Amino acid sequence: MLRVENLTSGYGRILALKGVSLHAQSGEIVTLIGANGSGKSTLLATLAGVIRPTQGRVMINGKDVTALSAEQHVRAGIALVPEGRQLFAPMTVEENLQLGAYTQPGKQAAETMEYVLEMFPILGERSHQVAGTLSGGEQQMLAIGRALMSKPQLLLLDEPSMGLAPRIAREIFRSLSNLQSENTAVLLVEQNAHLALQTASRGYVLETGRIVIEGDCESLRNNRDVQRAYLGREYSEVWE
Amino acid sequence: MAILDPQVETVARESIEQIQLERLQATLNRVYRHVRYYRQALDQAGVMPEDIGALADLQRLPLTGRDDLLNHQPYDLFAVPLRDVVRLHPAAGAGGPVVVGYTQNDIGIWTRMAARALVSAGVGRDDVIHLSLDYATNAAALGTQSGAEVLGASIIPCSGLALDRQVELMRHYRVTVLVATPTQALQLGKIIDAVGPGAFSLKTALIVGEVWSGELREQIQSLLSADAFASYGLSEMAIPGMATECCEHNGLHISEDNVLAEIIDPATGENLPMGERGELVLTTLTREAAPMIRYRTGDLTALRAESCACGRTTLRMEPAHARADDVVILNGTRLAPSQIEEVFDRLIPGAPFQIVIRARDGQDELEIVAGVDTSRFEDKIRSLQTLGKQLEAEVYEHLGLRAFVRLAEAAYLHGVPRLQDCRAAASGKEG
Repeated sequence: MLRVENLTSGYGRILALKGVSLHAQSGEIVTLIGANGSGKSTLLATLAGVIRPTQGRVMINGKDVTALSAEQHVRAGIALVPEGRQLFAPMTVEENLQLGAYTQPGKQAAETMEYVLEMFPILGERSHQVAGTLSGGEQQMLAIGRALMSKPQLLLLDEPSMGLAPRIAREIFRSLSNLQSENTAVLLVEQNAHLALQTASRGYVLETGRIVIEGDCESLRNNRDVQRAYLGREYSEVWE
Repeated sequence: MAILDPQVETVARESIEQIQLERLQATLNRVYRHVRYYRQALDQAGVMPEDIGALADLQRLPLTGRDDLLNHQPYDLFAVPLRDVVRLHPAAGAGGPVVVGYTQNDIGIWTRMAARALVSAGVGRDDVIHLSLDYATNAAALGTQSGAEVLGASIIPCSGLALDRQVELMRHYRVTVLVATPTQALQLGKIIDAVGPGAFSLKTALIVGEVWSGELREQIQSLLSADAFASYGLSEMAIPGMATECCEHNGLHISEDNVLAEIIDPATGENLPMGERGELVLTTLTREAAPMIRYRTGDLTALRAESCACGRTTLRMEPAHARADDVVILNGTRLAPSQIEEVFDRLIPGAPFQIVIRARDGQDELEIVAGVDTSRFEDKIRSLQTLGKQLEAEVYEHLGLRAFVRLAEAAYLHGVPRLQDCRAAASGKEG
């Protein structure tokens, strides 16, 4: 589904990503873990077409989308849920969702809306409420719902658990597994490695713009480097 | 026939190559960070890990040889702290043993690879597996054991048992699968053939050995009355089952999600096109403790890319017929004639010698004929005997090999090849 080959990207002369390759299959949740500044958000922004890579290729279902603009990325089936949600705060829940469907014909948008409201029933209850007045968890659900309105084949999620109570975060992560039945691939960037490794099937570990470890989540959980750096185990005993 | 992991064994080439590229890059990033030797080697070659943007760029990386391993014993090539290593397995060979370390994840992946190899040889949960391999000298023994347990097959560890006893167990426990080296398989086969194959339930022989030929297969199959499958592994890399035959018996399928194979010209180090025969070079893709970049195996083979009738899409390698150097493998230990020369030079400098290898009781036997001056034969017999014993002791001390040394007049060895392998005339090894 998604294939990224040797992606190099960054801001001006500063390269935040150095030769990153990864892939995700339809219906698969893949997580990217890494510390602050490791390049996770840059990777998502590059995949969403917000930043143009200096090198490498991004393929969606065999189609090269590397050179496309951000809005063409949406049409190609990629939707980004940005860090910090970035909702249109003065607009209602319904309007936010409708904006997410700007690439979809009206009839289809209505169907998708039904699906999103089924996934997050609370959004239906609050459909006429102004987005800025929602709780943190509800705002995150709305941000995900808005992205899903474009019927993406690939959903990019940047730190969905940020600032949320653990119980709410778990609830949101659980709803992500519903996407598997829709064959949507999910690329999940998350600082809460515990939660991410429970939700995803595979993962990549980014360090200073490079992938240093990859594997299924079980092997990542068993990897001592991952345990030390991201799961808080053996913290006092790093590298003799 | 069954395929254990179709999601990697039967996928399109571009999918497997994508996984290989991802894992190669992650491995390079790790070794560059954690292994001083590789960092220096890459710096010297002027290549950074991020310069490897495609599998074809692999050729830009420096090759690693056995000497490089020897120079960094025991732990300098590990990419994790020793405390993360849960198993150490010394692999004997030319120049001394090299130690291979495994993390818990390495063992998990290795087990899966061994299980895949068994499945490709048609082994399943109803099978009773007889394991003749030696646990200390052959890393494939432990791998096969854990792989078989994953499949739910029953395994009988028999390493070190006398051959008669082993054959008795095979008959009594209705063993269906034998896992053995070519030498062991031949020796067991001779006894089984003499007893009469009708008394046995054996159907499959998984032959774990570096050298293999059509004639050897015929011989093993007819003696054991079983279908023989070749399996290739390398103790230095501890990847038993990295390539195993399928039911088509047409090349060994490489476990491509775990190892990257290339063929180079052993003389120039240049990569050879697909299908041409040369030296096999391997890069590990999933090893955590002891990753290896472009390791020269010394084994001569060729790779083939056509898809196989069994459904697997992985690359196949021909059975390794010969070595790029003159190394022989004795009971799983590699021996180069130059090592004997080094040892002999201490006592009888410059003396000619001949190495003779025979099979006896499932073990490889090493005899060395040393050529000495005629004048020595005028001495007392006792002094000759002492010299012989001294040489045997030196060989044991320095190479860890039990040898029988015979002395002959130097002139007798004139023009005789330094190495004579009599284990199976058909084994395809030249001297």
